[in-house]
Amino acid sequence: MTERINEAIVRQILADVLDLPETSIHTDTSFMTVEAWDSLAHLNIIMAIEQTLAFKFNSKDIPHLTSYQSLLNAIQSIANQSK
Amino acid sequence: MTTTPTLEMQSSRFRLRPLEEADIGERYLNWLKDPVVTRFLDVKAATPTIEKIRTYVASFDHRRKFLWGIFTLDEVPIHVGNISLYDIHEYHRNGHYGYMIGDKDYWGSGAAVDAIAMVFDFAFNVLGLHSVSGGSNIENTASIFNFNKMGLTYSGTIKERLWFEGRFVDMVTYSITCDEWKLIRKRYPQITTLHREIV
Repeated sequence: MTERINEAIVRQILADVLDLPETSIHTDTSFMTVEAWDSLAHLNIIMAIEQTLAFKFNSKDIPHLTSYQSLLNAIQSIANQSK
Repeated sequence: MTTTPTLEMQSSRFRLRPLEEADIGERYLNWLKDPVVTRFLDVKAATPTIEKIRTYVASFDHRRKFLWGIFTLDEVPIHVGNISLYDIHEYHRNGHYGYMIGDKDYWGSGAAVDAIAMVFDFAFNVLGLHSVSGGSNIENTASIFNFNKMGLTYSGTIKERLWFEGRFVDMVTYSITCDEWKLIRKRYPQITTLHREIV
């Protein structure tokens, strides 16, 4: 259930920051497939997720969380650690 | 090597050209006085002055060490940042690049991506380099993101290489080869390099 909610949140944030329709966000969406996903957009994506989910990513991981899937994986990993 | 390459290059959004005396002024100086712009730059170690900028710009001979201003394509082009290619080693055919987007209004505008792509074209197609590398403070998320975005691969970490905000921090290095860039380059069809290729 939580995973579904996280997916929806990340999808919504990516759509908002990258100015894309939410329906266009899928598992292979990444900085390689979306030109607008640049360094500034990336920082905005990270901040929005951290604020919404009330946690902090590991700062060393942040530059590498460059796809929808890698963001979800990192969120799941943090959730598992906090259990 | 039969032609002298022009140093001017252009994408659909930005143009690179060597800096001229008229580019060295208060606008450029104000970038170097802005702690947000210079947070990860070595330049913050010294008080910036117009004369220091002039000396810095003059240190690029455009033979082994290159510096370009990044300009908009407006009728009156706006200088938004700089990019350099330096530490060029002719025998090993490698070089190092660095950049600064000084005008914060142009952060997120694609200026860095376009400028890096143009300089990689220049490095590989004109100078015939085999690889280009970049280095960054490990805490500079935007810079490391851009290494990944431009297709560079992680080369290594130099422990506590940089003095940063009262402590030593690691520097990470990334690099890309000519063949790797040929594959990545297809992602940037908007960039047209105007220089002639060395034949």
